Amino acid sequence: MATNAAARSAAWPSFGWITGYSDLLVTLVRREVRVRYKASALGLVWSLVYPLAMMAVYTLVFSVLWKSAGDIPHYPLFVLAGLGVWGFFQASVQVGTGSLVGNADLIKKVWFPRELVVAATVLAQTISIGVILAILIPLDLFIVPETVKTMVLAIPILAALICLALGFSWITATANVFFRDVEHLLAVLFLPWFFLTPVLYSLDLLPAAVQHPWLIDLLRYGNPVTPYVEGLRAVILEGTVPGASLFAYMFLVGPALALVGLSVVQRFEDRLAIEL
Amino acid sequence: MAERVAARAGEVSGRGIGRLFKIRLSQSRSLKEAILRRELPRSRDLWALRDVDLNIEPGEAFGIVGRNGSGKSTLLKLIAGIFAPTSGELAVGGRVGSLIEIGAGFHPDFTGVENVYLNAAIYGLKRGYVDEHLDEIIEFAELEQFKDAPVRTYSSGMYMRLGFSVAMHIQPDLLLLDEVLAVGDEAFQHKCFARIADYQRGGGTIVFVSHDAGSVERVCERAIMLEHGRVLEEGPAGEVVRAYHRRLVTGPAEAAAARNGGEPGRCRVHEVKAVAGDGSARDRFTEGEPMALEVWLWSEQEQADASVTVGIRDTDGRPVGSQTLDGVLLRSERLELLRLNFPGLPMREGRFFVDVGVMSRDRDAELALEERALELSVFGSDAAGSGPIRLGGTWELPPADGTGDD
Repeated sequence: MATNAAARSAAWPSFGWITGYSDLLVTLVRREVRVRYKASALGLVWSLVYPLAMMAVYTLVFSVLWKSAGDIPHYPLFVLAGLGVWGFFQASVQVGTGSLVGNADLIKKVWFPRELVVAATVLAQTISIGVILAILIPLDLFIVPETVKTMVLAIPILAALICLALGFSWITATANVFFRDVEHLLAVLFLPWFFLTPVLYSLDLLPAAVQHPWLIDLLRYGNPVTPYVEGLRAVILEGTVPGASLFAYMFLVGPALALVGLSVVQRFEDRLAIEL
Repeated sequence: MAERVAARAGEVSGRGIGRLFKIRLSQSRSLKEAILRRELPRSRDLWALRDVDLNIEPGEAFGIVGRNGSGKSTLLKLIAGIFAPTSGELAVGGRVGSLIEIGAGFHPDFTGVENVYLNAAIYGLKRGYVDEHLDEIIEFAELEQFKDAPVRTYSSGMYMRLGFSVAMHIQPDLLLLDEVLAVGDEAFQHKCFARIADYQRGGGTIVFVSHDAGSVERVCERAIMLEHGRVLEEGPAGEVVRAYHRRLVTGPAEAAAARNGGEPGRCRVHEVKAVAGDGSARDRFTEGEPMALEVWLWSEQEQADASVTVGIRDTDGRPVGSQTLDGVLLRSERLELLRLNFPGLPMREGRFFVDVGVMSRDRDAELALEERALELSVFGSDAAGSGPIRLGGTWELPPADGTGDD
């Protein structure tokens, strides 16, 4: 059993933390959730109010006022699914990035697998996307009955998305220990990133899709969040199976980034306690 | 993957341990600065530990002494596994519990009970184990009434009690301790020491770190002394502690002075003489004879409020007794005389050594120490007693039915 930093200077990421420290992971996730919802009267409802409000605003602006989303069927549901994926990714990375610095007291005092701290914050965020899906899935099934055949694919897609968020957060959380402005840098990056992600629009319906197909491919595969947005929409809203390339992308990039992220935390683990 | 030596529970074995730190010269921790000021040297290397060999057996009480900055805490953190050695091999067997910075991992918004679960999980304990021992942990901490209140509402004493209780209930194989074990009130303090003693009787290993060498001598069997990250002395705790005391004096004067917060003010024990009742200096005396120890001290700088201690040890190094005088004024660059008078020499028979130490105000820095400043031989005057000291009692026979022996 790996019992300290010295044991884990391996080149390959170690997974001992999942089995050996599952109780700690559960406790930390519970802590995150508790801290997040403890002082709020509405609790979980907040996870729903914000995306629903945003959905209403975006629908009003883009579908009713501007009529630019005219060709997208069920635009409110389309936006809500996109907001679910994006919101989960952004919140996970944002909170995850600060988590190592935020738990400095713990990390300086006792050894435990550091990746757990970050993983717990990311996993706690799944609640918010879970709440959205709990609303979205029955609606979709009712409005677009053929989605029943593809709905189950949402599970592997979400799993891969969690991997993506984990990998990202492990890297940025480690970087944030060494350079404390990474957190702020990310906050700045997230806004343009949001607009480059097809949450409010569909890449295939952009005028550029006809004129510059390469630009669309760049937007689709250059932004790791996009395939998950499109993939999840396909299976829960359109009742179609995403294309092979999109599928391959989702299940390669997410887990691969998670592996990279894990080895980054473990590689720098030794220096975390010193820098904090 | 680095080869790790297997270690038994509670065992620590290390060979050639070194730990390098990069000291940041600039305080900046921002990416922006890192990019804009690439050309400046940003760090300096510092070996906090160098070539340290360590061998702690299960069940042993092991001490680490050294001045501040000698590498003690780095070594502790290596043993706790918080970071890895830069060079060498270190194997630590079993679970390491720490009574240093007790309660540092508590979450203020969590209740006492929730924090127990959190803390135990961090030490890798299963939930089931905590379920079983929760009552015991809370009861030991005497927090039954407060266990469901958030710990931010706790007093610092309650906080420490809970931290101590958790740390002792995680079944450590190795316990890290330092001299500042200030947990709660005195009654609870006693409870803590009793608990630690129980733990030790149960075969637990203790690693005790201190710059107060005296407590190391009391607690530990073996010890090492660190200076500038290297092991200078190793062996039975008593010997290491004596070496440490010597080192405090003979070591770099600046270091000793730095502890005092002042300039290198040299101070020394100039001479120690034993003077008999007739005023003659001698080194041979008879038991019970009137005698005075004359201590001549010299200091470069004025020392107000110094404390001077005269200690007497036998040839095995066992202390016979010591006596301290506080509030001594040492004028700068003057020989000062202090005289310790004995109406009757208290030692019975044998050879004895006289040590003289000078401490600064509040006894926080050792200014000078002269061990074996003087050697005395004492001869017994009659055969009616035995042992190292003259008991000095006087016999009295009850007048009526006096049948006193001898």
